[in-house]
Amino acid sequence: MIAESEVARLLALVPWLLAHKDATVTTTARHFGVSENQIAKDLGLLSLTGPGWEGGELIDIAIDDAGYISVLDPQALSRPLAFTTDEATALIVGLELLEQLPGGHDSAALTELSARLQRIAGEAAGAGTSVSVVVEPLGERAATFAAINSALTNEHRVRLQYLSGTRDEVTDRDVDPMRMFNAGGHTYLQGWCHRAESVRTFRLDRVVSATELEQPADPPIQDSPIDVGSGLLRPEGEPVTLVMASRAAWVAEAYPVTSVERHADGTTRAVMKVADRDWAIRLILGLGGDVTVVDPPDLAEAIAHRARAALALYS
Amino acid sequence: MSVRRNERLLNLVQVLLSSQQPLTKARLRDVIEDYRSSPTVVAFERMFERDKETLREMGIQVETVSMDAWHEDEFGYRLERSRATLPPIELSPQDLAILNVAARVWDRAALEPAARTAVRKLEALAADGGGDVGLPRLIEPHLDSSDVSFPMMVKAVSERRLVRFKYRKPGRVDVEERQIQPWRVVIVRGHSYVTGFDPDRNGARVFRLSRVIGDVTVAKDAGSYQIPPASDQVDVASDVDGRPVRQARVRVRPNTCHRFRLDASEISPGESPDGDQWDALVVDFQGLESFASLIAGFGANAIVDGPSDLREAVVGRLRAAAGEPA
Repeated sequence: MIAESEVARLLALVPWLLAHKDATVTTTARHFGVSENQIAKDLGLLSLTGPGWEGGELIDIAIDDAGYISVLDPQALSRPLAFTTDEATALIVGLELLEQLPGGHDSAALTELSARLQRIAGEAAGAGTSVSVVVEPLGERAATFAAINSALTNEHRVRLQYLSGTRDEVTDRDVDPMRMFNAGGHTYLQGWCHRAESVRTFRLDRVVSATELEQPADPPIQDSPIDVGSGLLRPEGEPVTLVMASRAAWVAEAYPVTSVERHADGTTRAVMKVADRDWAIRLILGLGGDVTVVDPPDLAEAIAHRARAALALYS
Repeated sequence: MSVRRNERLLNLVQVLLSSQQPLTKARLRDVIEDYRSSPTVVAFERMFERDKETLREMGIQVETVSMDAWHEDEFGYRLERSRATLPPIELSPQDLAILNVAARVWDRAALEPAARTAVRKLEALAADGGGDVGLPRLIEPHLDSSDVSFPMMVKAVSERRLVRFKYRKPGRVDVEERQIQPWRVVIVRGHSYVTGFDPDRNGARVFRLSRVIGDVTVAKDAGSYQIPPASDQVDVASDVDGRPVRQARVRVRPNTCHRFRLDASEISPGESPDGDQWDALVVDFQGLESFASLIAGFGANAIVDGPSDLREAVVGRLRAAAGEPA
């Protein structure tokens, strides 16, 4: 999580507490994403402040034995402060993104809600039009999406034929869906994979087919952080030293690499920790001479060998 | 930020909000302890200017107004309640739940803190303080715009300020100094771009934010140019997608090249180079270079039958990888 400024949190606390009479130190801490200790400190600090003139005019906050917080006197902070540009932008763009996603949201209601927000945002709302979002349409994946979405809603298991992100293979997997999300322009299903016996993330455009099953879904884990990392490159992977021509320098940007050296002749030398050789061979072979393997030599030979075998088909 | 500074800023905001009239610096110095105890007027004024700037960065604009006729050269400072606080808004628990989802779009992305603060402000305005409503389980969207320059570009667009930055084109080692009058920040399939007018090149340009190196410098003058209507701007999405869709004919070895099988519009039995039952696929593609790389990567599991430029590009890659002359 990216931290918000302390002053922003302090200013937001009082009006939020006024609207949440049943707030406790615990629920407030959870809501603001900080420790209980921090909330206690924040409330202590707020109680030392006020509009000033010669004492007496301080914010008055009480915490009872059960941890319930009551704001006895909010002084000048009873109302939340106006939206900043970033705040208005964040919500307006967020709604715009929701509107574009398939499945469920009432588009007219979102537009209306966005208009209501823009009215209270005043000048800050101008920013809402400075950002726009384009989401990949589902196109031919609509049937896959519908099956998974239905399984998720009905809490049913779903059977996927899934193309591995690493290997050239399709596997059958029974998955108890946990959530669907959209990130980096792709739509993903996260769920408990009975084949892997673990939480797995599946990219929708690699699902060959999806069938909703009768069995109820019962994932042993309810909430798991989102991880769309490819798993192709791991710190414990085999170190592979590559030299990339300038045309292929993007490789060093697209995948995590260590010890990157950019040379004056435009080439880049970098080390990649490769977890799956087959994947690395396909990547490097596909880039032809633009990427060469300096080390290990047997990987370089494996690539050259495959290239020769493929050329034989064309001769 | 120190506790003491936080305390001072909280006091400053409350003093300004609760006063009916603008307050002079002298008055503020009387009321706020840190200002009172600063050793000199210069030190106080410096501290006050810094505080105003901190508040401005947080979106709290302290207004400067000139005081009445008797004090011509004296300024007053104020936060007018009607402008500085959020007006009332009707929000149902359902609305709040949707806004929470909309805010979570920014989890781990550039505007995450702003999105969270914004929702809390709205929760403070909602009559019953929200609470959980059962939204249907929908797709959870995320914007991966973690580019550090993102919030700065958004600000520059909304204030119409020229920006300068260092930019590295793909596949280039050197870094260029660029400037642009930004029009819009566009997020296309997870990548963020800024569009605008480049005065040095006298034309519209698009920059990918992940290629902006280091800090963005924002010009002092706000509102220094006009943003053309959306219809006259660069369409980033079609810029990315606008390449014509072509059809490749590819033969693939049985039980391999699943990526192409998944994308194929037609699959039929194909002529076999080795006695196994190969399949002939028709697959749509856009970028020739990247598609040729994808095919070449499958080595002896795929043969391109056409179009010929694709076939040549694949053979060229294989030759280079085999160490043969092109």
